[in-house]
Amino acid sequence: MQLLEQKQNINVCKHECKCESVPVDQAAPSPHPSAELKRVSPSNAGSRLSASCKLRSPPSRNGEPLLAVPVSRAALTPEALGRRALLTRLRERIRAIERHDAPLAPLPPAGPASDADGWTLGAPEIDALLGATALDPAGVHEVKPAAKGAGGRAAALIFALRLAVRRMRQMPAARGRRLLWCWPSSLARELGRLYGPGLASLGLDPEALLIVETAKAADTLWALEEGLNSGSLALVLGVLDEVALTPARRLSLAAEAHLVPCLLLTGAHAPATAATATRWLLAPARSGAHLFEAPAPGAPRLAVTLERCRGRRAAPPEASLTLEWSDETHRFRVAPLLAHRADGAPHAGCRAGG
Amino acid sequence: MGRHTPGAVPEDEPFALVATASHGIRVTAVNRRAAAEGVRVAAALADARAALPALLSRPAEPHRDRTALIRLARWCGRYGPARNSDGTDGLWIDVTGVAHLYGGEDKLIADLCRRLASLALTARAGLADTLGAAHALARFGFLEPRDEGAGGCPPGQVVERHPYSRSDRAWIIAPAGETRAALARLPVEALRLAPETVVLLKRLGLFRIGQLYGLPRAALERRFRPQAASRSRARESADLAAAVLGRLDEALGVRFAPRRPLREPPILSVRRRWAEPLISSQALEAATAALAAELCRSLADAALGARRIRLSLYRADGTVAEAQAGTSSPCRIPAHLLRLLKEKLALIDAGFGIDVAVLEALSVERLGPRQAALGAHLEAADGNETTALIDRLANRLGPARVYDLSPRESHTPERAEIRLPALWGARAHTPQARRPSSRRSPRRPPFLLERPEPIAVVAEVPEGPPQHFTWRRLPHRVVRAEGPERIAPEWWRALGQSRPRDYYRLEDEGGAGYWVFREGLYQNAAEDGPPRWFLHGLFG
Repeated sequence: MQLLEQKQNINVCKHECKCESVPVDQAAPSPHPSAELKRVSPSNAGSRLSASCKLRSPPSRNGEPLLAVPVSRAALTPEALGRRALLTRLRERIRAIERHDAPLAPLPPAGPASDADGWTLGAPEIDALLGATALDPAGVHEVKPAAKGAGGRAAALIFALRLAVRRMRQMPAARGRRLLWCWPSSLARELGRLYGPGLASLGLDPEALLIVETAKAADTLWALEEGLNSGSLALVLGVLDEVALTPARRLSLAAEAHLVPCLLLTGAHAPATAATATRWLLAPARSGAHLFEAPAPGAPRLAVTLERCRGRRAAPPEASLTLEWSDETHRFRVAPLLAHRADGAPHAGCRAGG
Repeated sequence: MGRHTPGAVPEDEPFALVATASHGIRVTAVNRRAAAEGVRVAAALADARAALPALLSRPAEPHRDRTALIRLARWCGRYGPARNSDGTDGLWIDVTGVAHLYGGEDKLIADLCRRLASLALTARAGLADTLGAAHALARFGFLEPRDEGAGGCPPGQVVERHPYSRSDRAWIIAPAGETRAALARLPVEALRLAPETVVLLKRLGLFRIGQLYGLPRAALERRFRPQAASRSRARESADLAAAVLGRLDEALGVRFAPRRPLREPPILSVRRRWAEPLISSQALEAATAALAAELCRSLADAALGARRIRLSLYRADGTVAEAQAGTSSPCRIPAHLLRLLKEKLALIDAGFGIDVAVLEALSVERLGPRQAALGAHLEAADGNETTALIDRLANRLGPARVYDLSPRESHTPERAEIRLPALWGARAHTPQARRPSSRRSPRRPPFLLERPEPIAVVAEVPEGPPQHFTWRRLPHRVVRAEGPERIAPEWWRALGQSRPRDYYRLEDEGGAGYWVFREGLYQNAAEDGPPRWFLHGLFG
């Protein structure tokens, strides 16, 4: 076996975890701290194999390797290392954990297996901003449009629906449960009612949806809280113009108590809602290029900004990403920048062609 | 008479209600004093005034009388679930199986009369095996000897008191099985016959109901015949005879008399009565909890679950407050029913206090017995919780506001889906129309406007996609467009959309997606009028 030939460098993990090998002498970049039992492709030269063990830990923050993450306990036995070296590594590890001010390091692209990790968006760049726990499944998340107008509001609502798709498809606990969508009927009249065939093409089962249209915003808040308190739903979504401090806190406590997430879809000019785990700012973006038909809209895109994330520093302004949604895989990915090139004149192209 | 404002009518002065009839103003009702002075109902007001210049009068308000009567009929639900108004001046209550709650028929009717008297109403009551007999007793059992002539007995014969009546009572009870005897002495008017029939019967010498008992049926018809000269008159007389016999059979219980109660009678009903009216909300809640527990026990005994329940609270002042609740699946859990009712209790005004509360199951479904202890962990964890949530939401916000989406077979986008109230529980029961698989079907927006909104469009070529459009007074420049997808009208439907639609998916320069359509074709513009553009949905 190739692994055994490189004995000087590599210790075979003796534990029951399926780590095949661990680098010891030199710290490999932390592959994917939250990934479980996943082999990452050889990082360089093929001589070192990096693999991760089932150990949860915050990712490395400053680009510096986080030694302890991929290294299993077996590798840290005094037999394998000198006592002094071990102490140094442990100290480094503690220091790394304590350091919160370092910039975020990009993570290697996640494979489909990482879906079991939590409620993620599927795009590693933005999942890295969220940290290891992904979207808190017991918290309130606010999604708001960046600008006024029905188109922008609809974009924010559809982003929330896609998050719901992610949750329904990712979380085994959410399967078979229903979604609650609450909004005042005034908003339903303005933006249009939820339409089953359209939801189905997003990837959401329309039958799973329970829709509540209330006469007043206060009733919407009440319905949201009832939904969270019932504890039997996969997700609760509420569309409101704004949520005051007290109801926001109540929703947050209810979500925490019953481990049901809540998405609040507020208006563009509403003040930031209190007690939220994350806040997303959404703007529609030009869609990608259509594969076969140049003038047609391609894969839908959204400009997403993670404005707030509990327990993390506020993301820098450039953390705004253009995400593209794939209806086939039901996940976001960062839109390739090149695609902007074609945005200018699809009609012009059509004209030239015709 | 003093129904609206008790005390407004002076008891010791002659008073009459009047209405304009074809021959001037007529008296429609009189008070006791006026009756004693000789004012008769249906007399002209001018004649009555001439005889009694002190007579006070007011215009009658039949519609308000009617409303008050219906309100009183609702309140009478405390004596029996099936009740309604009877004509313009009476009420009927079905007290079958209720009397024992009051300690007997006598006590029940005494309680009724006492309460009506406390509401300043003069009431006379009759209780018998059939509605017809009770009607007759209440209206014609109290004729005084001086009512001679009016009572319809043969002239010169003195009307004696009804054998079952007592001078100190405002009611007559015909004991079970003695209807024949109780009705025998009453005048034939008591059978609810048309006036001309009554006149005819009297002309034939038939003044009392008892005289009809012994008559052979064929003989009765023959007796009418001398009046009938022609064939059509003969048929008429046969009809008259049939009407008389039919009414008689109904009164005697030989033939079933259909009747329509004010409210649908419940399937199961539990009630509580208190000597002292309840006012505090805690007491009401406790009472409701006790009723819910009792109802659920009855439901469990019958292996049923309630789908619709009604709580009626009878106030001491003669009014009723009601609260209804529905469940999305048959239920007999007292805590759940109580929770649904509790939210409505907050809206109920106890007024002067509530002395009777009735909880009824209006519609039920079969629900087999369950072992709570064992079944609790076997059942799906979310099933019951979600239906309970639906019940709570729908009962507070209204059944139409909490809905499921259900597909429907149609090509027209707005028809392809219906909203079914979640409370109906239809999602679990009815077979769903097949939802087309999302992969192959064309893209649809997740948000569809309730009705398409007209937009102003500039298109490059008439049949092509728009380049600019104005929606809700905002201009949008289209950068990308997909389409058209033509949806033809469903010709097998007579009504509705009649022109084909060409749908386009548009993206404006901001990146927002819209679903618009052009209704009508340019080639048919001469017949159908120019095509029009609409915005139908948002892709975001």
